[in-house]
Amino acid sequence: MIVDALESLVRDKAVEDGMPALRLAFTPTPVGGKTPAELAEYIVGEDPVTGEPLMEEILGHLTRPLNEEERRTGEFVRTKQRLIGPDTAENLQRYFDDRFWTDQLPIVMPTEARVNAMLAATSHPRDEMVGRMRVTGTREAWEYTVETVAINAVMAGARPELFPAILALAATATNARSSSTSSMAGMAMFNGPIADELQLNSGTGALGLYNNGGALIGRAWGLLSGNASGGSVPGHTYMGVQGNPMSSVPAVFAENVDGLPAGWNPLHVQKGFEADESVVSTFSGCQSQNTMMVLRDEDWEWVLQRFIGGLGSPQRSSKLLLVDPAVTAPLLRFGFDTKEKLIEWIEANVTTPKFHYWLDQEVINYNLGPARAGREPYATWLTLPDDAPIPFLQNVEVVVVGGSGNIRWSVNECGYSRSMRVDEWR
Amino acid sequence: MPMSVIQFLPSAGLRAAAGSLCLGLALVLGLPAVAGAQSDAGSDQRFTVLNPTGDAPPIERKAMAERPDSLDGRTIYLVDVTFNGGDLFLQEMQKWMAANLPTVTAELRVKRGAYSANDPELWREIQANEGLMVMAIGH
Repeated sequence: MIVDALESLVRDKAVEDGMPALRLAFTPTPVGGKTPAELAEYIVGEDPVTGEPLMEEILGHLTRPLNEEERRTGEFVRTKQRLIGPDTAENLQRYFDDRFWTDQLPIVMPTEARVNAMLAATSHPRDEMVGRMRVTGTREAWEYTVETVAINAVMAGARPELFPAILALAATATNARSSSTSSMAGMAMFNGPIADELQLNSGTGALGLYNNGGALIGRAWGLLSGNASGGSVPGHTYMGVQGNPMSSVPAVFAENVDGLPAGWNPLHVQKGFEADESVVSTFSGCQSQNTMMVLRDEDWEWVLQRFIGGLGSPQRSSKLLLVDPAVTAPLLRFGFDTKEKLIEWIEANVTTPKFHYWLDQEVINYNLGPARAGREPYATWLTLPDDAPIPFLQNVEVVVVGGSGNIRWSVNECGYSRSMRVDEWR
Repeated sequence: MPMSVIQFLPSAGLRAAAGSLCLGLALVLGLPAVAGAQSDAGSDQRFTVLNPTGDAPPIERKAMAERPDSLDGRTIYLVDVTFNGGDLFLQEMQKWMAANLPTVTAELRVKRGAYSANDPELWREIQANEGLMVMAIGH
């Protein structure tokens, strides 16, 4: 049983899981937030999809003998045709747009010659599998090759010299257009010599589109995320209830290594890479970005706890601090002479009372089940007194970025996903 | 001139699979021209382009569980997955069954773990009791 707003999604999912005739029944949308009396009305009402009395339909589902289709077993394979056309650019654009293969903006036509030129920028064969990607964690994983990445790079308007960076980003298998109803997006950051080589922005407007290389890499990643993972079709393979402006052209930037204070390592070094290696790191689950001014000596602890702790549901245990070089001096004064010390302080001191933690709907949806099953730390958190502080942040990252035009910095609800060497994809 | 293509459509193709082992969907489309700026637009030049989609994994069809002739004496497990009020909904369904299905036992259960986690212990229990299951996810 599921709400009628998710009918297309659940039918797609039933096919993926090998039971295309799975017997389904639907309630009106939503169920969450309704009173027991309102839900009792759903029970005695009709299925809004089929129009049948709901309970009569369910009892029929439980007793009606299986038909031939419902007994069917065996494997089936889905194929695609590699070439499309010939036709005019206008018609092909419409064809791609109608299937949500684009970001609904004009694309460069991925002709064989253009794709071959892109492929010439890597030593990897066109049919090599780069990775597997899902539209969201519960959906099937699709595979994509070097050629698939090249096709999407051409569509984005990328130049061949960007292709190894795009391939490395593709190899992280991070989806920049998650289909979560939470309307999440992805971000990517480059460290090492590649940042200068591709002239990626780490200063003013770094997270925006004020950099050609970053914008093209980001657009290629966005297109690939929709096309390589099984689609990005609203109602089927894209379910973000409001959408996210960052999911069309994800932010792609470089860490401002010149702005790193002494003792603060760049992100890729924190993740175990050498400083002179070119690395791309991805972030996912990005939902919002909130800025504030510099912290003051008198109340920085209170402000940090409130600012970071108040951003979104406490179920979201990840946060990404985007620290402008102009605001690092006070952080050093507070004793954070490494990124790790700042992260440790935040994860220990940003808390929410147990009573409110377990009343949060996202916490109920995602953490209550694991808590009841004994998974830590949730199982212990469930047993604490109501006023006990829950340190709910477990995946905090700090990067330095920005042009220091003001004493302003930000926190984003992103979680670190994965890092990949760029040179392996040349 | 209409463009002739054979192409798998993710959403429409998945639906088509409900009635067929074959998910390939043949379409012959006549696509209207559209105005708009794009790098290849504005001429009658014709392009053959490459499909940008990934490769779908094979699907292993599973037979559904056989149904009983009658619900008399049976236990129906109402399985909550801890999501957006599904528990309250199933509690109301349990009340309805108690009032309207006197020969049926309606057992309300919460699946272990997160909403997408497997719970083989519960499945074994339902199977051992020759039970039936209604799973509901709130949203």
